[in-house]
Amino acid sequence: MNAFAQALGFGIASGAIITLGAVGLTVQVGISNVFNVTYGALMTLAAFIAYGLEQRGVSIWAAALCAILTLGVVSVVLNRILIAPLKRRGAGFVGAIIGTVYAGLIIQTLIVVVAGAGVVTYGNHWGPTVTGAGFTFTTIQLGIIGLTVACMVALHLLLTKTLFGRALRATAANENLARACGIRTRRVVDGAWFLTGSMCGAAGVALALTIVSFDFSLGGTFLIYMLSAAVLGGIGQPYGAMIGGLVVGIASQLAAAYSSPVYEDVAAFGILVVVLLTRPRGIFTRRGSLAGLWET
Amino acid sequence: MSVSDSHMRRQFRREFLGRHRWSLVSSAGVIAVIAATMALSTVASASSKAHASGQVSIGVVAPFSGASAQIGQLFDAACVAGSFAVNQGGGVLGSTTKCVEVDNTGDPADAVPNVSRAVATISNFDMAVGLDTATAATTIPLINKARIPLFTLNGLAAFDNTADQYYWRLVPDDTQHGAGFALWAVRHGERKVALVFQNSAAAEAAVPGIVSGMKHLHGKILLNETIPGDRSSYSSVVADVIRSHPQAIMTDGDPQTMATFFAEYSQLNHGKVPPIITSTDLVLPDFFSEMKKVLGSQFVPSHVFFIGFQVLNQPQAYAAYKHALSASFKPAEVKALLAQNLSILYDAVVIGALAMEKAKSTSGPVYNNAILAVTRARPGVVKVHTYAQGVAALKARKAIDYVGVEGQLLFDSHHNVSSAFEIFKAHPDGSLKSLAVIPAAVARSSLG
Repeated sequence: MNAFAQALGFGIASGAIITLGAVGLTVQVGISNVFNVTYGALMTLAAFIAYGLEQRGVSIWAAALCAILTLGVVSVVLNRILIAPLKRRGAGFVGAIIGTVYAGLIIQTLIVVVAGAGVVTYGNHWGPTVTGAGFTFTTIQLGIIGLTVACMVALHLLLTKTLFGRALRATAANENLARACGIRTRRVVDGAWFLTGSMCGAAGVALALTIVSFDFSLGGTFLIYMLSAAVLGGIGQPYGAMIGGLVVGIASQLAAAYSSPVYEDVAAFGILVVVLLTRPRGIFTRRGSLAGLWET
Repeated sequence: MSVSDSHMRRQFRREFLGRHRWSLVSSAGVIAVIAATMALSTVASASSKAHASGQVSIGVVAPFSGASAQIGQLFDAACVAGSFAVNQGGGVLGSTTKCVEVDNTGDPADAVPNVSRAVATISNFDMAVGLDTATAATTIPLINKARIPLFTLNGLAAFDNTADQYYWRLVPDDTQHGAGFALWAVRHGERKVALVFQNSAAAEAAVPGIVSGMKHLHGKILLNETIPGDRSSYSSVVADVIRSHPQAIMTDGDPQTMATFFAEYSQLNHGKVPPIITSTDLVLPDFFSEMKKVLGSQFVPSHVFFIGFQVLNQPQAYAAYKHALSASFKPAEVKALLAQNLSILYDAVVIGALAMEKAKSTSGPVYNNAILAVTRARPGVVKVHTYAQGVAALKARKAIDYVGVEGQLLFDSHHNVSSAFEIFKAHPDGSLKSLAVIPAAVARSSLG
């Protein structure tokens, strides 16, 4: 029971980071109909921006905030200069993915050029360990879980209670119709990319804080977990991604605990494959999607 | 088969060949010409590579990118020192030497195209040094096929009885290395150990030796876990290891993985970590800096024991090595490099250059056999400890035995060496303090 509780706790902690990233990823798909493979490289960029600021004497928390906001801006720029033009020129879903793959490689290469190919570390910001009811968490893990919960609640309130949220749902449902109704869809899309880019940045910094040391491949290796969570919950469905992130995190840690750590990835891949084969739309109905929310 | 079928087949062949005969013949002819041109150019380039005058290129085959990039930089530094010593001693047959990076990325699959390209394009690529265990299996055959003598640090047991004649291994095999782990643990009173090794050929190479050694020495392996590298968390494995209550943890992996694992271990075990027994492969600046940042500067000196092959530091050779490093690097870098135990690669460059002088050729197939001739202790030979001494003796038509920083190298018929193992602890400044020596025979006998 103790081993199970511990693995469950570890799964919740890693699931929180996956959720933070997966929700941002899936909202981008929902709003722009583009699967942004650059997401992993952007997470890495955020981690390195925070690291660079920390090395210059900025406190890690201020550095993290700067990195998160910077990623919001970078994501807006990425959409404006790459993704939106690709869509306008009729690149199609696959063409846009290929564009983002190469953009991700460029960002990764730039990180290597500027920061080097070696590993870096923020140092130990974990804080004391908290144990209770068989669970074991570090203070930073509890903080990240809290941050993720707060972000999800904030996102829910944004989507359901605010004008921007309504405009976002309308744009996701039918951009042309939304524009015809007077919604400034371009601003809405910019706002969505800023929001999701910030979540991407938060996920990148959170991941780097928990893993001790990292290099230019940080986000790339984590992308599969977020992709699995997004697919499990249903592409374009933020509420689905919230649950999906938790499921993927817990499944990976249980696989590591009860078989072998090498099966962590296998668990994530396995979930992805099983969902694609059996229920490609994800486990949640359209009702939970951005477009579906508009229709309710 | 019906008559009509066979008739149709004959008809088809007649029509097809008849209509397309000339295009087929001309196509075949073009292909033959292209193949002949490629073969000729390969031969020409190979022979031109072998006999061109100019600088001798020493390929440093190691990871220069990725998680293990620091290994390549360290190997390169040792090569640069060796090249300096050779050039200062007059070069090789009138030519200077230079070290050329051959990035094998540390990945066995990625190494193949990179090394193949290097073999084909680097001019006067007459010697290779380096090569870590991770990429050995895929790249040694390439270099051997190109007939370039390779001085390697990989300890894969698969190469214990190799027939690759251009392969020269300068360190004992990994099974003996693992036995050294077991011997030290038992001698130190830690009979119940947990094994946590990264799932790579290099990191896991010592495990069979550890398992055999612990069994033979009546120790107990409580847990034998393999962890993937560069993960964000190893919490589940850490929890398993903590629950097994080991007296020591034997481990190896890249610095990033090790730092993540032990930082989580310390965190989840309320700051308590048992003694860690690992390989001198981890004596890397990255390992020390990462462990220091997450676990404090005293963690490595107080918790970690490094086991590696013994370096005898022959005084004259060591002085020459240090001089060569000082001439090529800044003082702070020299200090860090001297702590890394890489003088074996410096010796390799000197041995290769002396063999070229002995054979009066820089061509691999010619000087390869002379490597044994310049490293064999026998009556009547002149013992030399520097390149300059060796060249002077060879010019005086004397037989030489190069005894370098590592001491006397005794190659067996498969071009492997045996040596004793040494156990080190680190000082806070990163330098190593020797604690004990395990003779080669003792290490071998503990395998049962």
